[in-house]
Amino acid sequence: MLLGAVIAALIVAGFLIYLNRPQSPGADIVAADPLPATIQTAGMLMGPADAPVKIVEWGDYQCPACGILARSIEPQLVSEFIAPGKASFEFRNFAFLGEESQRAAAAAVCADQQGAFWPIHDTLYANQHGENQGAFSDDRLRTVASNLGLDEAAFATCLDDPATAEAVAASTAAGREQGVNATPWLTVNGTRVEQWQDWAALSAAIDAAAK
Amino acid sequence: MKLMRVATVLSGVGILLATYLTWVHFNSGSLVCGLGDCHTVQASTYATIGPLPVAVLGLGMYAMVCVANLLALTQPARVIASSVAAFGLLLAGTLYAVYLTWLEVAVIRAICQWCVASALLSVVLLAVQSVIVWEVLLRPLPDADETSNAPLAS
Repeated sequence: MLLGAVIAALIVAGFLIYLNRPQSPGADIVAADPLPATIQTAGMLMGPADAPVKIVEWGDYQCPACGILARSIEPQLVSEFIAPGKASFEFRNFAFLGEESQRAAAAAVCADQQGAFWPIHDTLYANQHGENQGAFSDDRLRTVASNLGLDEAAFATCLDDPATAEAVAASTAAGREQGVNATPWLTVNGTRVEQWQDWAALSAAIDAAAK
Repeated sequence: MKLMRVATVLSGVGILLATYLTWVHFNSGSLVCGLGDCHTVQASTYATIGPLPVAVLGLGMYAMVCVANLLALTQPARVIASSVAAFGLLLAGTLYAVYLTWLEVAVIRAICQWCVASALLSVVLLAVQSVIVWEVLLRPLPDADETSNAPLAS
């Protein structure tokens, strides 16, 4: 009976571990829907710089919750507040979930240098795959840049430039100084909105800030 | 009998821990990735198997171990089956908990203190249950025959 229990336990544990094993990110990079052409962007800011409401997100490209925000909330923000010019939306790097968070943030900085911050921002969030499992390896980041039509040589040089990593580290440090301790850290005119996933609450906060 | 009571109490503690982790998983506040707390782990892709949160698996394990030890305490005729079943559950759960702790350290790069506490608890429970099984299988039960010291099996 004891031997049977041990064998059954090993089978069950092995099965659970198999189901929950780290998986490779796969070969294909998923393309993200581009922003509407009417949306003006300037670096990591979208929408009019002088918009009455300024929405700021501190985010990490490996953070699953940030991915939910990018894929589910951002399109609503764009259509209901950014496009009509009611608000601007700025992304700031807060890379704290390991090496691939820092590399992905660096890639975003490099894409920004080529005027493609939002395309890479949305593409990275469309291609999350666990944490530090290769989804944002340098090879895949270079593939993302290539798919977006960026200057690959300039992108690669920027990605390997220590100054890029320093810029990411500086942004993260600035976030910590402002009290950021979780991502996505979303503020509306400087006031944090914790219930960002509740669209009614977030839109009400934006409407209230606009008055 | 004393160890079975200890195992029952410890599994009760495990139920509380796993219930808290399940609550954290389903609470809306879990939709953030935090610095060094449970949120990052709970929000990771490893926090669920399909639609099932891993915390619920832990809750189920602790609940079944608790029931098995209560059965062993209250129904002497089922003491061997109940104790061995609890041992098997804990062995599977502890192996999986060790793997999950490795995932936290090596892959997710974030430590959930409550998850680690649950893993440590499962290790302690497995040790206690191992002694219980050893006593049940290799020693006579005092309640069953207090006059005999002959082993039931060798």
